[in-house]
Amino acid sequence: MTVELVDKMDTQTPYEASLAESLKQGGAFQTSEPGWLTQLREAGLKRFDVLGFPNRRHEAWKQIDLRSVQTTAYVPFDGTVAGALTPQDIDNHLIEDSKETRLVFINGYFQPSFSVTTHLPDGVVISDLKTAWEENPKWVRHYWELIGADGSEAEKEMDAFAALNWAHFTNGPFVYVPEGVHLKTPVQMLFYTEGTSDTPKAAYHRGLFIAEPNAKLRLFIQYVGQSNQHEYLNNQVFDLWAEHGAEIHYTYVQNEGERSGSFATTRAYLDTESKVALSTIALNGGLSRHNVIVQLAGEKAECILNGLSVLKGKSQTYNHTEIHHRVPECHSYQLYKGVLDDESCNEFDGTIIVHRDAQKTDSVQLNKNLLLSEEAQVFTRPQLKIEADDVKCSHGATVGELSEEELFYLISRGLNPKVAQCVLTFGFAEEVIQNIPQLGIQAYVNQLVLSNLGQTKNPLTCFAHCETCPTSHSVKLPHF
Amino acid sequence: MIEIKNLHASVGDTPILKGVNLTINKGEIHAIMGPNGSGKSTLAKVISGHPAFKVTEGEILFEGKDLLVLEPDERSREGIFMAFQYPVEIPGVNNASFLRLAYNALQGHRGLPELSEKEFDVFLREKAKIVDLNPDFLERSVNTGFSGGEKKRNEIVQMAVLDPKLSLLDETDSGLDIDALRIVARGVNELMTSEKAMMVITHYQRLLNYIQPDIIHVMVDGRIVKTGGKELALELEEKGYDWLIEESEGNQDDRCHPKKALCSTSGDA
Repeated sequence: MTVELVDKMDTQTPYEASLAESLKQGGAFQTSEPGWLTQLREAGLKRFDVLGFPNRRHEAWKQIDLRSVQTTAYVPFDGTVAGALTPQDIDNHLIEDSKETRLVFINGYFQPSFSVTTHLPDGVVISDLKTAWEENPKWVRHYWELIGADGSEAEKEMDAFAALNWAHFTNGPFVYVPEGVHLKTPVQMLFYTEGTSDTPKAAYHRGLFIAEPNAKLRLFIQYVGQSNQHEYLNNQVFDLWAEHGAEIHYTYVQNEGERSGSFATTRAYLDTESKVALSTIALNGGLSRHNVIVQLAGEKAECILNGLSVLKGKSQTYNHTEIHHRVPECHSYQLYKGVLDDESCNEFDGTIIVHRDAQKTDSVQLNKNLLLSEEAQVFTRPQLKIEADDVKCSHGATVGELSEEELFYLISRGLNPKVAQCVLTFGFAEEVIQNIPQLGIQAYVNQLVLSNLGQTKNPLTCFAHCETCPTSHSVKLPHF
Repeated sequence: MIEIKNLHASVGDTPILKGVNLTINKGEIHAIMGPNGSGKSTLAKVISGHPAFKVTEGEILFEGKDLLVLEPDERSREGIFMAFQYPVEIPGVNNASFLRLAYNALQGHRGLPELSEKEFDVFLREKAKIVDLNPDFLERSVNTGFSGGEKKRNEIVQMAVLDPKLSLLDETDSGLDIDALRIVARGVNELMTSEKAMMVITHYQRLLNYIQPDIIHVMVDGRIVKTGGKELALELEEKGYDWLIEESEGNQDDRCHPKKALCSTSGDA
């Protein structure tokens, strides 16, 4: 399959040329891996070859200028880690209450020495994906088949970056919680990219999270870039599988370097009466896109999507969501918010698809944006596609500045107008953050959001002095 | 406590208040009644400094000082409080945290120590009892998802926390059932002292059974057209506002200027 790519040398972009070169060396393909996995990789690669990189003629990619990605010759990370990182550096990016359940990846590769998985309840498996397919190949294969991500799925993959991921992924997280088990502490996954190489590098991760019937599971994923100077790209696909009555809370935080690219796909499959809450928080990064695709495949399943982008500088974030209501009586709620300063740009492109049999669907989709600068940009496209006739669906979007009435309400209680602005701005973001079901993660995200709001070109007074401000409101702000 | 003299105010180019004169002394409760659109709420908003309204003429003195030069937050810290007719929902802003910010801003202004989160929590729960507000509402976002009655109770809790000298209650009775009305009124009465004053805006006599005003004013078309005692409310309940509207239309001289003589000499009358 590599031949086809090589043949196109003339029209290849530097990124494609670099991918082809890497495949010539064998790429992520490993002789030791199972044959079915090799087949999946090949299918993904073929699919990518058919799709090619999307461009603005593709409806779902209309607003994104991918030229900066295509013209960069990203070379896959080779597994070397500069090693200057201390456990303390890693610790700084972890939340307190679940340090004993964590998987750490650096530059695309699993780091057993930084990872801890102790005190797990019986039957729970938390490991890197490679270990999972080596030790329990049938499981991994079984669930990929279940979620339709077998060979045919790789061939049908709609997203070019996700197709590419099949061929190039090196490793990722694997979490399995057996029937009826409640995993109380969140599983933390840190994906850290070092800023040490002058060559643009790319990492490809793939993850699988399984909650068996009535199991409960919390996941906290964080992408952190060490450097704002180095060019790198992260490409990740995470699949969540919630069986009957299971609950999965998933929080994904993007805190990348300014010259990074990030292409993420999160897919959730919900069986009967299961519940999945997905919170995706975009804070820093160059160009990023996150596809969130939900399949409500069992009756009375419920899905909550929380999205928040708090952007500054020239960060661009594109949120693409597809909620498929395939069966009756499922609920889905989406709240996506953007707080945009400087020259940042945020897109919400969300579609609720109610399939023919999905009667009694209840679905809400809302996108709200707060513009803090005249140069910031917002694109919003909330969409409904309804094929059933007995459904309740609503959608809407707002773009604007702080509400005069809300401001007056706070000021009329004696708040200084500048404080009132900060309170409202932070409160705007907080509406999403407070839906994260884990207080430790909430507090952590709050701090990141405050810090971002304090680092814009012209930050609001409270945010600028938040860390040094002696008055009580700065201390209290994170709790708003 | 507050002296309003010949107050004119507009929203955009539309005049709403057209010469309001009103003095409220310490220890007094004044009721403002009148038909829809007569300017009652505007009067409260102008006193509290709402930016949508522009004062075009007249003055307001609060404790002898010019109120109109003060920003809305300064007015609040000086001791003016408006209970909103439609309290605003603010998702994401915690009710208790917001009130603590406001309270501590006030304490700072008064030269008094701020309260810590824990101290304030105890203090706030005590205040919530005044109107039987379930303490759970203190930990939710400001007014978000509150029923009409809960919003009004929350306003009175804020009033209790900020302990204002002058309270402006803008249709605090609207949207309340009779039990809630009693509870809210009881709370308001508990907060009233001989050192304070209140202006109660209402459409109905009903509220005034529970919060007894010393003086009742009727506003029509941006001016106070009638002032009387408690019996005026009963008269209004019986006869409606039409007779006052007619009366005020009959007195066009009054409308053009408080001093009739000036009108006739200028030939406007």
